[in-house]
Amino acid sequence: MVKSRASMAFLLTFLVGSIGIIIFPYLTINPGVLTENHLALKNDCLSCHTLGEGVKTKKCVGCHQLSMIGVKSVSGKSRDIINSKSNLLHNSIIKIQCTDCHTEHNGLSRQNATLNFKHETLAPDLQKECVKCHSPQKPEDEIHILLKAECSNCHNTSGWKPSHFKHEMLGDKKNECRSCHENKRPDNNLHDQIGKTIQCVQCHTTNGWKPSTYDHSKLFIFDRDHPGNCSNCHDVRKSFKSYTCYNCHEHNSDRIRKKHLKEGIRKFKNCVECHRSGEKEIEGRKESNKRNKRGKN
Amino acid sequence: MAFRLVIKKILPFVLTFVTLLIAAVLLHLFLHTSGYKWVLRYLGIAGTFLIILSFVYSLRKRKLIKFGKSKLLLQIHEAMAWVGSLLILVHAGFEFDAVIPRMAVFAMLIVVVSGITGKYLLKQAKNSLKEKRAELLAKKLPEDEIEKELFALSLIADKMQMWRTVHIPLTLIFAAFALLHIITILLFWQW
Repeated sequence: MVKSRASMAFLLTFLVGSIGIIIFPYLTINPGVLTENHLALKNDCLSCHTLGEGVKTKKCVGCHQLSMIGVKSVSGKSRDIINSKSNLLHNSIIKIQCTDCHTEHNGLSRQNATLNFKHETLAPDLQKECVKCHSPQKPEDEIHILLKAECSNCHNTSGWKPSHFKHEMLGDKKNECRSCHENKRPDNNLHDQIGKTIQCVQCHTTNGWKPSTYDHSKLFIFDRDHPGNCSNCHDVRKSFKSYTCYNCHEHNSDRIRKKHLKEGIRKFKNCVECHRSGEKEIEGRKESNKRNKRGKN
Repeated sequence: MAFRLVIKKILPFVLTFVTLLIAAVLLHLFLHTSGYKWVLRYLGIAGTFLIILSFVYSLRKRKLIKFGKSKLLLQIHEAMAWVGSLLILVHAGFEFDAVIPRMAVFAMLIVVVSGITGKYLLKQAKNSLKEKRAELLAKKLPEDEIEKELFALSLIADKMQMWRTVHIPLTLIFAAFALLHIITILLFWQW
């Protein structure tokens, strides 16, 4: 009894379902809404599908001739506005199936029908000529106006970002940092005092803002007793060009004066000229003496 | 009293079903949002295989195979059918475009509810048998007499028989819809 009832339920469901599929395929088995232009085919699955094989390119090109894409409609009528990009793209694709780029049953919008598009399907030469399709998208900012190189030097087909920009591509203009980075100049006393006469590249490189290449040790070497805290020696609100060693109790101006005069040194106001570090050994003295002698002569 | 009955006897079965629905929604949303949407297609295949495998119990029960203990195979049937249904629910998602796959999912949910009901009835039956046996033992009846009495306990057998007349046809209705869905996919999809 159960067996026959169960068999009957199975057969009846299968039969009704099959009839439903044959008469109303769009209602019964359609996995999603077709694009607007294909809606007319909604109950004629076999106009696109081949049983057991899916969607084959030969059926697509039966209506959409590659050479006419963007130029003429499927009915053969010339388009009011020719889509040369689309035409170029479809005529330069290498051996691929339409379904490699195009999908269906994904909603009315045509945008959703090309979600599978990959630049790799284009001919290798066209892959490098981005502006042929993307010319209106080229940014007109400081960097891109300066550049004449191919987009693919910095960007890849996976996306505009991340890019691999190299300053070397700017050629002679690569040291004109301010033309692109003016807004990024730090708003602090040090950089305000530097003004516009000194180029950024004198202290920074195109590899990154930090570490800076400015070498303070050419003037004075920091150590534990003389840490690199600017305000210890400089009046940071006024100028980094001037400095003083008398901001600590160790260096008393009277004592320093007496000590130097005792040794016959009269020119001792620019301490770092002789004292390049906190070490007792005087590194700059010989050089300074030479200069003093040259000055006397 | 009635509240205790609901909490103790019915709630665990209701929770089995509610957990299935919640787990399916969460898993589906996770796969959709985490870039693993492509996995959804394969979950349908995995779920179907699990459910088919769970029918080893039915084969054993009808003595078409002779290995395995029925009790263990029943537990495996329940677990595999639950996990299989979960995978199919995750695979199906919340899109309601085509009637056939939707009917398959709907039929599957009814079968799950029916299966859970069967589990509840079976537990009730076992409890009744236990109580009846204890009662007969208290009367100090001989063992063979007790077995005869229990065998004659047709009320429970009737209930389970009635349940079977619903559960098995429902399962086959689900199977018919699922089969139609699989056939149409094989016919129209490009693998």
